[in-house]
Amino acid sequence: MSLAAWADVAIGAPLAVFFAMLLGLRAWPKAVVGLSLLSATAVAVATWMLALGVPEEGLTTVVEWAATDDFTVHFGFRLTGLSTAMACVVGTIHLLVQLYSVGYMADDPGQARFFGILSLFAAAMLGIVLAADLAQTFVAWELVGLASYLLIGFWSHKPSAAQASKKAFIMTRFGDLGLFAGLALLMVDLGELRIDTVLEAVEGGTLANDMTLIGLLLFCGIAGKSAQFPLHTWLPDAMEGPTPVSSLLHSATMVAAGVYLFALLQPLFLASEATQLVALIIAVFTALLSATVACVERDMKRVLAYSSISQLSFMLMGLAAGSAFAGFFHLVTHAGFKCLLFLSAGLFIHAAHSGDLYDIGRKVGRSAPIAAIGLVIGAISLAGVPGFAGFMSKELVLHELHEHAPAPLYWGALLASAMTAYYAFRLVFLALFDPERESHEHPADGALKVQQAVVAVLAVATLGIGWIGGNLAHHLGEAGHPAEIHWASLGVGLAMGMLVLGAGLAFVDYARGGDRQGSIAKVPVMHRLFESGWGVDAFWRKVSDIGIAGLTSLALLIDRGAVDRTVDGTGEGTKIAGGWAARMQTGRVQLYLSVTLGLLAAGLLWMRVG
Amino acid sequence: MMGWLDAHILTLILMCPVVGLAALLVIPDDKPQLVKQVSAIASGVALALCFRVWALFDSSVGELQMVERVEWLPQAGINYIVGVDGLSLAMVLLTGIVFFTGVLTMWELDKRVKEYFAFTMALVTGVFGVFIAQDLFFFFLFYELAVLPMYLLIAIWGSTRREFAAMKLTLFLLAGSALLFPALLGLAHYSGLNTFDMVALAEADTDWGGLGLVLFGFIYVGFGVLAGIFPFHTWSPVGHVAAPTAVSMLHAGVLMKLGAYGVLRVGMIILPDEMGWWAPIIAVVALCNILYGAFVALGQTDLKYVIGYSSVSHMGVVMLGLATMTHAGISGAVFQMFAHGIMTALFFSSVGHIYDRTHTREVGELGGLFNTMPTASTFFIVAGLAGIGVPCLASFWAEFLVFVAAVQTWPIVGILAICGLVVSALFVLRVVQKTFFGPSRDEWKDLPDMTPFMVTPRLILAATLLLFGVLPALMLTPMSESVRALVATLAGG
Repeated sequence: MSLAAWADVAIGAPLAVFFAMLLGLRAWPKAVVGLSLLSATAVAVATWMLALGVPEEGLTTVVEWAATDDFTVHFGFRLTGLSTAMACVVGTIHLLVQLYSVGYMADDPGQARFFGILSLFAAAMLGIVLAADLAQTFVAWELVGLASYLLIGFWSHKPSAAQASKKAFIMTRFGDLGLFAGLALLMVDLGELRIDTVLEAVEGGTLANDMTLIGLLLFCGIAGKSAQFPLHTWLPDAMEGPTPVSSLLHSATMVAAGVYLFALLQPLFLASEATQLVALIIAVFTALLSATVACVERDMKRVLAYSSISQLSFMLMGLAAGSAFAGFFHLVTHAGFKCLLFLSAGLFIHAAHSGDLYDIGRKVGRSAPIAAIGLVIGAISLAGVPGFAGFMSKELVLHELHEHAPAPLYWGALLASAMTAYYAFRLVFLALFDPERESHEHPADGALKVQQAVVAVLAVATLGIGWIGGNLAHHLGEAGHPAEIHWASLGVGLAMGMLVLGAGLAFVDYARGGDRQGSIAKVPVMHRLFESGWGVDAFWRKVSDIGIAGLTSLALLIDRGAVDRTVDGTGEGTKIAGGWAARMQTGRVQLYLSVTLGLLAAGLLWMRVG
Repeated sequence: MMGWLDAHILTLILMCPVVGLAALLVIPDDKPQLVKQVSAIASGVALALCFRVWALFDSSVGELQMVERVEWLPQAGINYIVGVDGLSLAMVLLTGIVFFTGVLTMWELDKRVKEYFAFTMALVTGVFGVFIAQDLFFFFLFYELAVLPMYLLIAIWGSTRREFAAMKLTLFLLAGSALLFPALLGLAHYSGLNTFDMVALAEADTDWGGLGLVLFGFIYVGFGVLAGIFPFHTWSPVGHVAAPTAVSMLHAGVLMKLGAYGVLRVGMIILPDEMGWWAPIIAVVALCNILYGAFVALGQTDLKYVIGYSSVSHMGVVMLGLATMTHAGISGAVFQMFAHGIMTALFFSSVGHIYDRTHTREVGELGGLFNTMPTASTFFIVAGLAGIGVPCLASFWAEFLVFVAAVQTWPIVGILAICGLVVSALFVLRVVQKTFFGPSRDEWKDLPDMTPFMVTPRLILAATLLLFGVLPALMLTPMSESVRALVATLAGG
């Protein structure tokens, strides 16, 4: 099979599942699940075939999709080292999440719908990854938004889920305004949005519009999708969806889409120093902000969500600092360990019937061995313990920052990585080392065979993923040795110091008994600030309550009070005038005659004067 | 046989509702089922003929095709001329689809069935007529024919404040006609050609001077009323709300398009230079429609009011596309007319179903309907997604083309119009959340979902949205040459 055919399979198979579900197959949930697994396997195979088969110079196929005289939209695939590597990550994680979901969703009445939309999610994400035209990327980008809307609100009978899904859609849509405007400017400029054309124009400096403006507009879309300040508050709420959804959404799809777009168009963003600096500042600030919240959250999935935001910032830092490799490598490793963390969390939450970390520690803890191992491996990867996945990629990001970014940003990133270590170990200590744990004779997660198997596979894979940096760099066509870590450098030393600091503090706070409320709780002001997410959520609620609602009331007021009032008033006025005129119809001939004569006289007078 | 059929195909389409109407008149009152069957056949044949027109249409030609010309009153310059080009082709198909699905949607009607369908036939005759007429006199005649049955359809079969709404709508549209009538006479008279032939008027190189600007203004406002341009839009939501389901479908789906189509066909084609002068005004008013309509929709609590104001917003996209005067913008505008027509038809047909079951359209009284009526809810949600421009549904491409073209021609207006996308997402998702999501209410727990028969018309509409959303070239290729010719004319002045 040709490469393009594999790309067809990767996108077509899951789409087919979605439409089959929509058009009536949902009456047979078992069939949908079977088909969905089959397609997920096909997607995984296809993406690997793409990655293994892609020629070094890449391969692009396009056909016209929508053509006008002013500009043209193409449909096609652009297979490069970057796009196929990303496709592999999506295909693999998607398959694992589907397998996990078979057990997780077995008793849900909406099972068929779930698998159908999950397949749509994967197809849309692969659509972003493999697209040859930015308009096509935008199409897939919006479809990813749609699929996540449907999945976050999957349990739509829960008001909180319905609310969260709406919030996710609206906030990412907010960022997409910028993306759309930026793309429109590019489109007007170039007449088309093929990625090759855009990159050529950027390199040749032939763009008529200001590169900074376009870059900043596009970055709005990325900030929305990849949950960066101030558009990040939808992500923690998105936990209302089923856990496999969170896992997919946080690792390989949706939030990764923004980072991927940045990697894809990196030359465009780097062409303007202003855009680069804005991206770096937002990324570092978001990393710090969300890490502080992760340090105080009690809900396991919300800790992971804030941690995702923070890690996405690290990816963007790497990309914005100028390295095509470091940021993307962090995306890959993060996809592995974050998926693992979420799936383990799913096992814990299932066993504890609660997402609260203290509840999980008390009721389950180490009696769920597979979940515990998954959690530990995921957490130490996240914290950046040397040798594990997160360390490798984060070290490269920090190195890039040290080399190419202003010093305060580098220090900010270091601080954020210390906090990462703190909240990662806090997670482990709270969940697994509760001194008051109720004892269990049997493993608490014994019944969930499939899920356990998936977690075990992912745990092993996560152990290995940190060491593929060299291969990945080679695949991306990066020159030199971007994946090499300079062990004996000051940077690594500092990073180690941060790790020890964060992990040590977490140990002191949570692993030695006592009240286990953490150091931050000792400064109530800080604790309240962190717990409230620095008030960003409250700010957006204000915007919604005052801004949007205000404009709505204003529009209503104008519509009812002015526009429609005038209309109805005209009608009433006509009626009243008619009433007056009707009064003349008295039947008295004398009146008619005198009016007629009067008018005649007036007319004659006017003519004489004229 | 086929040859004769193809040669007179447009007149045959026009005859479908006329023959249907005649047949209905001889059916006795006590056979409502027969009335519905005859209507279904008339509309089905019309739809089939519309497909035939689509198949016969030659995309490489920009001029009128399938033209029929019959002398009628040559002394006054009035002739029966019909024909389609790339601009009207989509409208003919739209009318066929909405007509057919509208008849199926009203299958459960039991009040004065015969009269209802008879008036529908008259209305549709007028709509088909406007879209194919190429003579100003017939254009206006059909236009009035399409507008007047609305009064009766709303006043007799309507709901909420139906008499008020019917009167308001009729007076508004007649006020528009009062502007149109002198304008059309003026076109025929002051061109010096003494003809109502629209092609001849367009081709003549008349120097209109200042009069042209006035005539264009009359045409813009006169037709614009029907297209719901700000601030002449308030009749429209009130009318939607009061009208019975299929009338809302026809009203929002097709009638509002008559207005925009009139501006395009009569205004832009015959008076291209004047369009250049008016374009900035049209663009700004369109922007008002888009943003203002969306915000007012956000403040509504009646499902039909929400959709009514969303139409005000979406028709702004059409007018904005026309105002760009570019190939992409005008293509997008025509695409949006089609897409919006199908989308609102689906909207109203879904709301109609919900109202028939629950007897309320208040967002606050509904809730959790997705749990009991997943199919009916899905159709509404699909229409809603089309309304917020989700890709792979037809409206996405329409909005995409229009907004990019707008950024090109009027950057500030274009960027502001793009911001409307968030507001439209807000009002659609808000309604979806409150109506369909959340826990089921006790009173709606035992509602039955749609039967396969009721699914059929909605499925046709949803499938149309998807088809043109996935394959936009199906819509853009046939109209390309005609739009190109129009853009050349517009640029020529």
